[in-house]
Amino acid sequence: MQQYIIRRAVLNVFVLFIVATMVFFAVQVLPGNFATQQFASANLGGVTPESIARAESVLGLDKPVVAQYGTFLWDLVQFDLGESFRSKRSVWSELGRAVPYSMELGFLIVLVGFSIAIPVGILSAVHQDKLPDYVLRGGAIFALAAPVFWTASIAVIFVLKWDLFKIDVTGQPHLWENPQTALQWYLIPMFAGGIAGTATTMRLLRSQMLEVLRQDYVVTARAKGLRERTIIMRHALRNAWLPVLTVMGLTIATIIGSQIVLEQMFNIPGVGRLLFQSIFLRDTPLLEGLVLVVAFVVVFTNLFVDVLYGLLDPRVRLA
Amino acid sequence: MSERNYWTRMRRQRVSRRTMLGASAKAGVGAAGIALVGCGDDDDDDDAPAAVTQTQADEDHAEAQADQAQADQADTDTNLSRPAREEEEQAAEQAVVARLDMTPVDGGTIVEQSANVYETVDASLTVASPVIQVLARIQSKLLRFSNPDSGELTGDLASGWEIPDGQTIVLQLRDGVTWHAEGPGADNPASTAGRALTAEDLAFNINRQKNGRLVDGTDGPFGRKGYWSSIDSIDIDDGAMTMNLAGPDATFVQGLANEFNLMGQPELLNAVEAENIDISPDKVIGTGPFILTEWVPGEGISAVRNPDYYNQGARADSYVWIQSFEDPTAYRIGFEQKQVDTMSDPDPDVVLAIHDGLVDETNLTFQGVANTVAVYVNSNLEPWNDLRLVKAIDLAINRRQLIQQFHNGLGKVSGPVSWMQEAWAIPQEEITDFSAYSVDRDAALVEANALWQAGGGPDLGPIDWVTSETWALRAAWNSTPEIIATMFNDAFSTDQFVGVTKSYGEIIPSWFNKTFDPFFSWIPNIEIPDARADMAAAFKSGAPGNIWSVSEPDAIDAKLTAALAELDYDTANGLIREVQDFVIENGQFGRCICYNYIYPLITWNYLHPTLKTETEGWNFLAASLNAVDQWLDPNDPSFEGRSALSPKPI
Repeated sequence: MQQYIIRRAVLNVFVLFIVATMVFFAVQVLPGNFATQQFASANLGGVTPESIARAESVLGLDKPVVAQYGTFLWDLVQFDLGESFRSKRSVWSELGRAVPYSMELGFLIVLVGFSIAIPVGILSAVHQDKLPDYVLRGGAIFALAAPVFWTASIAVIFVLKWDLFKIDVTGQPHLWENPQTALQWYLIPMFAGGIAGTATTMRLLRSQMLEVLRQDYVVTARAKGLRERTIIMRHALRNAWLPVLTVMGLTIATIIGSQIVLEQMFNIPGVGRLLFQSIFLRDTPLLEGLVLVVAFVVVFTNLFVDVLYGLLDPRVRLA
Repeated sequence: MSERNYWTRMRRQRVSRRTMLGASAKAGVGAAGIALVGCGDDDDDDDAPAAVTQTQADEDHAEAQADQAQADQADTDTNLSRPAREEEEQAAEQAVVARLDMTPVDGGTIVEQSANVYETVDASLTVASPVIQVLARIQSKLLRFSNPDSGELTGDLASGWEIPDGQTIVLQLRDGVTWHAEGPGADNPASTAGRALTAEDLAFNINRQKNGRLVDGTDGPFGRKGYWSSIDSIDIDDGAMTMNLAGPDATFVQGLANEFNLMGQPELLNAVEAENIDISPDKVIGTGPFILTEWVPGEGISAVRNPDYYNQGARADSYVWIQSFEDPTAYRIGFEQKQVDTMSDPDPDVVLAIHDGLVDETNLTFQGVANTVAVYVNSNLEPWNDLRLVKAIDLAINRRQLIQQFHNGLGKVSGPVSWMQEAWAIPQEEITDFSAYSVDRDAALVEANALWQAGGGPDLGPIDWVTSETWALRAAWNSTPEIIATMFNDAFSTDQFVGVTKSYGEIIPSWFNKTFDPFFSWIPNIEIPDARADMAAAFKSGAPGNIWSVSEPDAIDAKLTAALAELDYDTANGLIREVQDFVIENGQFGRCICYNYIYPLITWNYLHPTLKTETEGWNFLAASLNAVDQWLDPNDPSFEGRSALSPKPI
């Protein structure tokens, strides 16, 4: 196990290097750079070649790409992701501000999503082809079909119309600073995002449960007179769990950088929003840093999930 | 009240107000003319200009009444009875008058949205209005506009001015003006906190831009170098500064109130020049009504009142600018829950719908947007150096359709001079006489197709028509490339036109080396109400803004030169009109101006208006007044439930 983890970790570092290189050159392919994009709110004609050249020089964008790549890699091995062109703060500092927001939102979305998906998936399987199954599956399909921005927009309309609660889009409080205000701010995005993510997990769990419930050992357990609850929770769910765990792992891994729409809609200064802004502004140090961090989370969460596999199912041996 | 009634009412009010403002604008130019040969002083600047304004306004009042009557006649789509509608309108007007008559209250924090990116802390080096939106509260200009529509001026750092001979401007500098004594900028060791403003400070700002040189001796991107280069020399004498112009320039005085002409402290400007693109509040010091305490792009900006401000009128205690809402949902939440005090959106329907739901608690105004929308054809290169094709394109642009599609009808077509520079623009009722602006689209398209065929348009193959990414990224306008391509394809019964999007990064280099593909976007901001300088910048031979290399010594250059020097408005206006007619007849040489749109701005009633009158005011010039005149009324019923962010203290 230990060797496996070390081997995978080394492989992951290599993957991150490839990602870093790809991101660096992909960014170079994008038309324009920060020196030109920062004039986006200006009007054509007011911008002069001199002003762009000067900004490029100050930002180091006038150096050859190979030199920029060398600097980028050298900084990277020293864990220096550089400074954001826009804020002039270190990328680590920007991440330090954005990641907590994304983690808060991601955690709440996952919490809502799995809190709904797991019981609904079990119930749907247990009551296969009965009314509860139809209703729950119908709901899941609806959740899958409804885009998060639509669900969130509808919810916002109701909240504003009846002045139900304050959505603090300017104060941007953290959960640990002002739990009530923060929770109100996150309430709509967490349910919109959570419900949207419910369907996949719920349907996967349902199909796994149905398969397991038909296995001989479940029939044997029933024949032994075990309680239905024990059969489902101990024998069926545990064996249906592994594929679901994979999906959960991937969901958690990607949730940090994937909430662009919800973060934009609710003015949440998280990683997704920062990613969007850095792409538009061609803020390359920030963009590269964000992608690398997201990639880091994804590859190492996958490693964690693989390790968890071995712990949950003794039949899976990691070597 | 149904939405339909509401729209009708607002539209009618808007049109009649504009008509009134047209005369005000003319009056303003008249006032400027008087100022040119006489004397301006903010202590007595109500005298002569006001008299002219009053006369013109009286004349126009009759015109406005006629307009109103016409609009009432045309107002057949309302389902309110006439007495009920009149009663409602009277009540609304009384409410407006009552609001304007109220005694301002000091205090509170005004919360606005601002941009997410700024390219410099130096007003002389910026080309972007978001920088000015912030700095206009922090720094001052020599003069400022007291009415952004008419161009009437009042003193700022200069308490008065005289123009004895048409090319000499004598500015009396205001006594008792000091640089900010506290705040991050004042704490910067490179600045001198609290010292008195001197005429040398102002001369430094002017000469720095005029010379165009940075401290390191290199050329700097000073956007107003051309403007300040009109000055031949500056004399400083006992609290007065005399600007000797190289030649007569009737537009120069208005330029002193241009929002970009803010004055910074020389020692700090020099010290931070090399790193002025690193945004930080300790690099800014001013003499203005507010002291900058925080400036972190993408995070927060705040400013608190300058206790030593020399002028009266700064009402709010502080300003907080939050980073731009990039989604209308967040903006709507922020506004409706009173976290921000004003709201606008590229899609007018969003704002109008909100106002409809909060009609008794909010105030809706319409502001013209100083970014003129245009189609650019590169007449420097084949095939577009064939004037027939350029004219065909100009004729094929369906300007009114674009206003409908992008702005839900809120906008007006503009000729070479924008309708917002109303004293100089071709009147709306006359511009339709030109085929390109005619409401008879069929006739225009017949002419366009004839020219297209004659110029070999059908043989050009696929034509990429670019939309700037900055434009197309806005949610309300993201199908612009297809709309523009379809407009031309339909006009010429072809499928040659292909809509594409390009970033400024691609457009700007090709723009300056004159190799750009045809595109649709904005042109530079209109910065002052006088249109002469803009026309000269765009069409005079050799002017930096003459990207199309137009060279018409007799038909354009001579007339523009004469107009710039002409102090008589009617004569100057006649010359500008002749140039405009010539330009339109030539397909605008590829600089095909389309329109200026109008955006609705909604504010809670507790935030009292920027403008002295309920006019449409330019978005850009209104900043002059924003800086000092906005105030919060905690006694207004709409104030209940407001929750404002706190500014970062000094």
